[in-house]
Amino acid sequence: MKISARNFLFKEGDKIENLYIVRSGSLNALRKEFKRIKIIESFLPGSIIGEIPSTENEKHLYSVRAEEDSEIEIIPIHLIHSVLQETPNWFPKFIQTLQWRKQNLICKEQKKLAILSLPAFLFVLNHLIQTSDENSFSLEKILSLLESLLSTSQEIIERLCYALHSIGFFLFDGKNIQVLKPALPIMLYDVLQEKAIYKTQPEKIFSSTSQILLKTFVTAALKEGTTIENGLTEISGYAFNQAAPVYSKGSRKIFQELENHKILQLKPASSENFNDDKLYGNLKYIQDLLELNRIYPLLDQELAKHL
Amino acid sequence: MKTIPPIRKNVPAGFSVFKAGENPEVFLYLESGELAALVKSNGKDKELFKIQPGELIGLPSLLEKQAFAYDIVATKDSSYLEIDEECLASTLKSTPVWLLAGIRQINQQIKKAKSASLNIKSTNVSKVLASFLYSKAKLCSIQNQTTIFENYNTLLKECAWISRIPFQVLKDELFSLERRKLVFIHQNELGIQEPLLLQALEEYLAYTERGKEFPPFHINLVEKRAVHCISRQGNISLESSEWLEKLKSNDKFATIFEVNLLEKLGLLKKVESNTLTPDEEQIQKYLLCFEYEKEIKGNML
Repeated sequence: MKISARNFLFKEGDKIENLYIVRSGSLNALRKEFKRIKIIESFLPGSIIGEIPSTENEKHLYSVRAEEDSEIEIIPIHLIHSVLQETPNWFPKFIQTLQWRKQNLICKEQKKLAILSLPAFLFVLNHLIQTSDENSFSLEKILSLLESLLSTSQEIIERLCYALHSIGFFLFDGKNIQVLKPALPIMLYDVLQEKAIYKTQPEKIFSSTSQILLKTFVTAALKEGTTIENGLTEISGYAFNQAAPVYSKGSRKIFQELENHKILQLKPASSENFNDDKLYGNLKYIQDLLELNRIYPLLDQELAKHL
Repeated sequence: MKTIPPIRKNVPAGFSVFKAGENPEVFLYLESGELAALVKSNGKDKELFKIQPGELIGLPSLLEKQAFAYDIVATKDSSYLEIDEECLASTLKSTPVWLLAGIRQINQQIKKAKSASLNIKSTNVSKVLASFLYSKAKLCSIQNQTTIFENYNTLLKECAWISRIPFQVLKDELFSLERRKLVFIHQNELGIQEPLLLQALEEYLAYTERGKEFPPFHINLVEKRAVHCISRQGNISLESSEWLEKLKSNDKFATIFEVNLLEKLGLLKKVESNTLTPDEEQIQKYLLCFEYEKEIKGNML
């Protein structure tokens, strides 16, 4: 079969029906990335184009276009299957396993690439959040900024966005990212950076006891809190204890971690009774911190599962 | 062509076929019975998965000379084929050339996929650093003031983390930017006088990478004068014809072509349907490009 320059041999999404051997000329495998057509592979004489499908209705993952007038030999898939029937019984399974290993490996590598792209992705997202008044950003914009920092692909960043969407980090509809808590990507970036670069336990990640205390503070503050200056909300020790689960009733010393990190301030009353004390905290900041503490452990577990 | 047949083995239930750590350089094809892959967990055997008739196990042992990561044990009386390198090679030899080429291609794709995460690094270190420093400086810059970062090592560590480019490579590139006067270094401090200069460098490198001309370096004298002219006008909105008058009063050779070009380059932006207003940041970037062309291009010597 002859194919003229600039003509397509097949397009992305077409059903796999043949294998092709390049006899002369040259062809390129193309895929659309970053709004540009990217050449992902070149085929010269002797190259095989396409794959032996292991199931019916498998589709091509890229388009192939002739870059010059080329000559192609076509091997229909049914011929491949009849040749395989003549081979020893283990041989077709050998080919199928090879294909499966390839797919599996590509999938694993893509997961790895998506995880490696996360810091740069957050860096770009934070830049957009901090330099605009909006909370919705197009994937296209993010990709164009990301392109200067990493050699990643649209497919991988899309996967990363869907995975982050699945853990409630932001909303992603395939085109736009809607950030619900603008402080969260910034906090997460800092936390990941502390862990990766300085190998320290991130300051904003708290013990489960402190997280329960913060949740209790939020519950009590929403119910009975008084907003005072500097964005601080005041609650009484009594209100805290009313909102607290039985196992985490307040006493002064359990707030030490949160006081050390200046998340909550405890102002003891003159009496020894905790109920008379006052607690202060920035409600919005604490809500963001709690969300960060919810997301952070999911990165290791859920993110890897969804990617 | 005669092929070397595989070795058929029959084993009773409970028989240990291979132990973790062994590398027999064969793979198995189970014909009947059942095998299981087991790992030791707290001194006990934990089953990972079962192998049913018609399935293969141990391909990495033959193809990549990798030891088995788990024990393989027969859970029922089983019969399997052991395929070694000679058997595989002789079978491959008897298959059509195109099928062999197809298999070879899958193997190459496996090797390529294995190295994919190593290629995530951008090869253009200068572009990465310019983009990173521009973003950092943009967030902390105050107009007409040099942005000072206390410790450039801290910045470079962060850049290395997000870009996967080694710290030392980035450090060498930072000193190259300093030699070109695009940034300033004093002891551990890093100063960035004009973040837009770094953005211009990033854009210049992106254009060069794509084999395209960077517009600020490819406009003629009349067009340059037009940029200078609109830079002095402040935040005003005028129609195209009025802009033409302004340009003409500055340079008699100016035509409507220059007005259209300024709009196309984003130096004049539409605010209402008929009026155009100067984009101060874009104009500032063009003026910096005119002034620092040599430094941006990097041909200082």
